[in-house]
Amino acid sequence: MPIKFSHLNYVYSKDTPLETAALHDINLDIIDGSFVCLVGHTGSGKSTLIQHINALLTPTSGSVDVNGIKVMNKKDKKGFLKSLSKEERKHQNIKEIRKNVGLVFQFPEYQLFEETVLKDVSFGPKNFGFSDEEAIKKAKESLKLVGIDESLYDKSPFELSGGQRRRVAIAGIISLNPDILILDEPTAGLDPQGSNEMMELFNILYKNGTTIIMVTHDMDIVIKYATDVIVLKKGDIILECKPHSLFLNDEILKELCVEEPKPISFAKDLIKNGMKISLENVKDTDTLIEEICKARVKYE
Amino acid sequence: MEKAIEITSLEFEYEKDSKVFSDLSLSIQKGEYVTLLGHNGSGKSTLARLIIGLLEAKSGKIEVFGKELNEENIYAIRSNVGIIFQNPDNQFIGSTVADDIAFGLENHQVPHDEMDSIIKKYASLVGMEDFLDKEPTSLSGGQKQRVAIAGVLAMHPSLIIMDESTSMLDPRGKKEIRDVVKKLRNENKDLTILSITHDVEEAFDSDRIIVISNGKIMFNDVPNKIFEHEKELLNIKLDIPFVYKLRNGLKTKGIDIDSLDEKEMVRLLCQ
Amino acid sequence: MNNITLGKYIPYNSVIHRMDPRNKIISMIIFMVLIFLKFSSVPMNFFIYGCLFVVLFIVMKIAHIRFRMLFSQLKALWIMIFILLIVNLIVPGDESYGYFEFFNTGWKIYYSAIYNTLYIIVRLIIMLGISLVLTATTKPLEITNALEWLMKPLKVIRFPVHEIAMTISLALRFIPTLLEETDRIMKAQASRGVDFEHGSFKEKVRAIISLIVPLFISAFQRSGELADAMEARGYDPSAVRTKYRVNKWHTRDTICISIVLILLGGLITLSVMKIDVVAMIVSVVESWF
Repeated sequence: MPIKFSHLNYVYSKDTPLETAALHDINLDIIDGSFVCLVGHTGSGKSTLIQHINALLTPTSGSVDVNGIKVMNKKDKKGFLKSLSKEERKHQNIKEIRKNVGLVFQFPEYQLFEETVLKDVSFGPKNFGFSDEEAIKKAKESLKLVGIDESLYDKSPFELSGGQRRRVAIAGIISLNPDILILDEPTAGLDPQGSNEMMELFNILYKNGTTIIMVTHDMDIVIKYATDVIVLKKGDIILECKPHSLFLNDEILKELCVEEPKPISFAKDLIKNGMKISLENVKDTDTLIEEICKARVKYE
Repeated sequence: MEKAIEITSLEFEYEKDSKVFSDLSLSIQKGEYVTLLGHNGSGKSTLARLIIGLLEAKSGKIEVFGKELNEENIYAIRSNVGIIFQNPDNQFIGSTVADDIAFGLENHQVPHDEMDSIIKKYASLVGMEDFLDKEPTSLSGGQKQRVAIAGVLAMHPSLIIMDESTSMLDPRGKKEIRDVVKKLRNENKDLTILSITHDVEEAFDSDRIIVISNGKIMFNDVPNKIFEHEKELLNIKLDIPFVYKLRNGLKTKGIDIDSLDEKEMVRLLCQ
Repeated sequence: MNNITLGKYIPYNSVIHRMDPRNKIISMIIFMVLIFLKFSSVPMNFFIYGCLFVVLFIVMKIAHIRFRMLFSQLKALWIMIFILLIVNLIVPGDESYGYFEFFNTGWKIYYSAIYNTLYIIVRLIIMLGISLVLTATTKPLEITNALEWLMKPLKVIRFPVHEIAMTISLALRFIPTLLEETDRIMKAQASRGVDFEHGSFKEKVRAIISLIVPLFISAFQRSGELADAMEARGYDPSAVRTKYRVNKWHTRDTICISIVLILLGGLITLSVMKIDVVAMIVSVVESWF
């Protein structure tokens, strides 16, 4: 399910006091099977951008094309629909987008509301027309995937710990089997191990063919998992690149107020001092150690 | 040396028979910067709430600057202890930055005529002097946390507790808060700071780290020594700083680097 | 969701904006009393209403409030006014003002019914206008503070004035936060397939539940954390507190309240003494010719 932003502009209605981030002329292609990380300061437009992908926001002008379904404002969409045949028009259904594009908001544990964990996770599939049995089956599958024990299925989600609640909430989106999974800072507030486990889960989904689009501030995540990085600043895309080239760009790092991941800066220092290792292979401490070993073997 | 916090055989439970702490004792010296490190649900935030009397211990004793925490002393202790909580939105009480800083002053009956200058002084200490009339909705998380710090500082506390104050902030917000804390440390050596976090890199800045898991103190030592316990820390869902990870990892591959300084490590590896 | 403006405060720096909110509240109350005074004759009533209109018009002009705003508020009231007129026309009125027959149908329409309806319309417009002046020129928090001050005497009968004022100001502080939260939860549920606009009654109920439950849970959590933060900063509702926001009474406030009081005194005199200014003017004008 490819995504294509063309000349997308978004302006918050001008009379409100809450007028903050907007998007200016966004052009962007996200191809199938990529793991895209969106980085930028709070208010740079990241959240606004991702909400367009499943039509929670409609552009002021321009469009997002998700697998042929266009997200546009009412007026543009009317014109666009006119140009289509009756058969093609049927395909232009927003609910179809929401079914295929799962969006996990920041702190998703706050969207739980059902009496039991299982009911809450099957809520999504039911809304998209699956039968009760199918929905329960999907719910169980995704709960297993996120690592929620069966003994918790009939508990109230509000009895669980914060970390467990977040897993349940994410299961509620995964249960829709989306082709594209969008995540807004899914690891915020988690402890290091919780964060690692969460990322491994998304990595499994990614390996199974789900396109992942993730808003994050964590550069260790970017270097370890991302295939592409998009940097936003005040509503503009200022950089689109591969993770490793992001860390060659000191200006951008400074702008983002982040330091390059420790393994990368260490590897750079090693290269500077004459060790022959390939920076592209360094993704975390473990891969750095492997690279060092390789280089030493060659040397000896 | 005066003790800032002295906790002896503390016992606490939210519900009957599920103890958060069964017998916890620890002490913090005046002027120390101590990090309480633990995973989510380890009881570290509960401890912060116990110290300022928002929760009541089942048994045991908590002393803050020599005063025992009880109903009589609670307001005296609170006026000497400032706490910055995790969620920037839920601790912004006033309708504007100035009102929020004023909130504590009003509680401590600071005369109206003195308030303006105090508010200006502490707002500029945290770099928020140009935002006095701004409402919370127009501020970033980091800015709101800085206002919370100003509100706390305005009451001249001897102890500041940072209860995961940076965990909901973006890198810029985190950096802003870290810089403010550094500045405070430099300006006032007597200020005691108790930082509660699960961020190991942040913990590395402090004088001493207390590692807490399941309501028990696992380690209590200077940062350099704490991170030697890699296995134990990973077991309780924590991480260790990069240099330790690298050194230990290389060791298992038969490469022995006896240093924790990045530059020195690079030099040794490239020999 | 973002279009809701609360209190309809319009930030300008007019004299009216700068006035002490206590003065504005008292003046508003006096003005409200004025429009319920009854005068000796029908023309006299309308003459006084006309004068009050002029005063309102001038005040609105000074405060930069556009008349369009007043009429947009009236929109919701047209139906009520219409029903009122019908009721007044059907119920037999005061014969002393006379009546006429409705196209020889035998249905008596009393002039008093028409007058009474007109009075109510005029009073409504003036009342709305004057409260608009208050809310457009005074921040909700300032109104709360002023009310707290004005209700101080009630403390004697143990009325929790301070607690109520604190509650209102915290509510005002958290309304924007909760609106943002509502927006976020609605979107989160929408991405789980909830349709807030379409669907059967049952589906709509489910949609609302999926919004309300998380909203309440988060509001409770927020209030718990807020209470902790307030306590930690030494808040004790029963203790004496000093105040940062103090209302300042300026000369302009004295002038304003004096004018309002003179107006009150004058109009009460006219009303009690049954002085018909209109009749006097008419007779003077007649004597000229």
